[in-house]
Amino acid sequence: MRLLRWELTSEHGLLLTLFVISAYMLVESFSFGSRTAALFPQLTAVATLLCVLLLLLQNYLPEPLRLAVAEPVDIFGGTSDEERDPPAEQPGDRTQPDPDTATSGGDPAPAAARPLDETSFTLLAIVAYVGGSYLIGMLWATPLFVAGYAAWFRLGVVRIVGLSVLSFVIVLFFLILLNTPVLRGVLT
Amino acid sequence: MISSVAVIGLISEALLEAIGLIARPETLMWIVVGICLGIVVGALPGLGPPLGMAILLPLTLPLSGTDAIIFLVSIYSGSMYGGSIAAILVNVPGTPASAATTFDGYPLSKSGRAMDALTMSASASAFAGLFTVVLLILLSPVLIGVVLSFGSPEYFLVAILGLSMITIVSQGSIVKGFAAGAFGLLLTTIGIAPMTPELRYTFGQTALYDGLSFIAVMLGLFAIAEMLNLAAKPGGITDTEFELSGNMFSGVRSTLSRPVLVFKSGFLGMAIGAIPGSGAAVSNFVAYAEAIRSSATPELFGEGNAEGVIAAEASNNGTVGGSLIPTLSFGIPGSGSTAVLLGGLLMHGLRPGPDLFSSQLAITYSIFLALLIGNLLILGLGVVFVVRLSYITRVDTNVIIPIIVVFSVVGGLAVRNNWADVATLLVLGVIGYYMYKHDYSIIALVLGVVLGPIAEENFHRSLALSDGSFLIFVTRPISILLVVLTLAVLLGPLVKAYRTSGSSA
Repeated sequence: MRLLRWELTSEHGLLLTLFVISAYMLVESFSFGSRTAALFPQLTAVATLLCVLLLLLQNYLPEPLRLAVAEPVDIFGGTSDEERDPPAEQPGDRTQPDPDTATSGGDPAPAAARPLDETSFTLLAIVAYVGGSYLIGMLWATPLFVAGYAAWFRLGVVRIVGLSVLSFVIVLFFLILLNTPVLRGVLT
Repeated sequence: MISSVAVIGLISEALLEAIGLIARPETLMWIVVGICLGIVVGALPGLGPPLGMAILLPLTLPLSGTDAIIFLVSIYSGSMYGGSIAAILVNVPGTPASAATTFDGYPLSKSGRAMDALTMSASASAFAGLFTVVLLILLSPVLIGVVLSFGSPEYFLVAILGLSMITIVSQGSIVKGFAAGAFGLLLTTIGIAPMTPELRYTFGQTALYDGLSFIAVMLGLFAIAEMLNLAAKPGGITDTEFELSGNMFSGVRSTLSRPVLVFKSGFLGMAIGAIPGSGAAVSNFVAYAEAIRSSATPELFGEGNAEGVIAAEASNNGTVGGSLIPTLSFGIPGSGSTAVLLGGLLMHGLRPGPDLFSSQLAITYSIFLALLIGNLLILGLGVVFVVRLSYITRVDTNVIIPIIVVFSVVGGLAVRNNWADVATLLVLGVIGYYMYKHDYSIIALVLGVVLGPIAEENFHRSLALSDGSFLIFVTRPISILLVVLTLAVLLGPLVKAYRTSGSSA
């Protein structure tokens, strides 16, 4: 008998999220008054749950089934359209300072010197931006977010100001063109 | 089945009306703007057509349905050429659809023929695009007949087949793809049920009565998730130095001297594009491989062979026309770009399927004609502005990310003035990021969300027609064929895995 040794990864987190959401939606569907309204959510929730369970337990499945669950299938030998990044290891991929950035005062710091990696910071910045927009209005939160983001990546004063102004103009454009409610938040 | 005389009458009338629609100055302006934006979006690695189209989708709200779709299609078409710019100049494909272009485009650039390669790409893109659009118009009578013969059961089954195809064609395992697709379908059940006035999963929030906004979902998956992905790649696109030298007219001449290669690659792109899930990234490689196979000098490929650039670039623009076939006919988008396009159609009240091939056939033809004009523009812009195109590759990703995020968040709010949509794009952005990270098919999830309402509505309508009997899905020959195809697609990998494990035992 194989020991169940779980090494939790972000993929497990993703699968557990999908599992919890679909399990809740399945259970909730039984409280619907109409059978018609419940049928489609039940079918799709069961399909999602089954797939998620197969993926969570793939290491404990019989070999043919494990292969079918885990192995990538690619009938064309290519990748799906517009879904993947271009090849990761490109000569053009850059981890050095941008000469263009350098001229505008940019100075990308080494990742080790940062309390957060770039993705974590970007995610937190976006969450703060959405939260800030809800509280004080998107028109005012936008330049703050952009300036903060640009400052974190040390893009230089000219770019920080330029990007902040540009972002403000973009939101203003949405306000004028579509009357999007960006002026006020719940606190203002 | 509609008679052939009636079809010809319908087509003639619709074509004339479409010419009238296209000839309007504002429509022509949207084609030009769309092509230009598409070239820029395609040339910036990390963006690509689905993201570009998604962030601009909310801005099409004030436009008429026809102009909005023409604008989006133009972006899509322009980005196919735009993707080749970075591929040729700095060896980084702007979109996966230009990955094969790097093989010979970059060596050409390094040997001092960058301008030749760029104009080869522009002319091959334009000529193949023109050829496939003409072919699409010629094929439309057949399409009309097929589309109008489909009923609710077939539309439901074709949606399921489309999702199944995507799960096996796209990256990762079939189960990952199916999980993503099923989860996408599940998300569409939030809000008021389609056939009964029952509220589902709304938690008493009126903001959720209309369900999740598929535009917010697409913005989350294509923009926010992609920006989180891009953030991990510090700096700009490239610091590779290149010299823009060569002869722009020699590139066009190279393309003109190889008409068979252009049309063959364009046709391959169109055929592959018509298969859901297998878009330009696939056709790009298939056409390149076919060019090598049929070449008298295959050993020269990879060293700056013009045929490599022409084949790859002709195929990806050919894909645009092909991918419109399942999108407009059955509402089954074949890629991220056509998923956004389908979202645009639905947002502007245009239902893919019978309507677009009968009462609204003029709109369909105006889209085709816009593609024709767009391809001519690609040729013109690609040749005239060839020297300026290199500037696009100098843009720093740290400059792009906050601007894309702003466009996405304000766009998400703009569609329905609903903060639930902003929350949706944020949550789906995070889920999408981890899906990218672990090789789950984002396209399958997007298609699930886009196809969900169509699938559920046709599912219930079919059951209503049959008094609740599931046999309606296996009654007509076309239904049986669709069921068999879906089972073959889903069970094929299982059989293959069983055989693999059996032979290795």
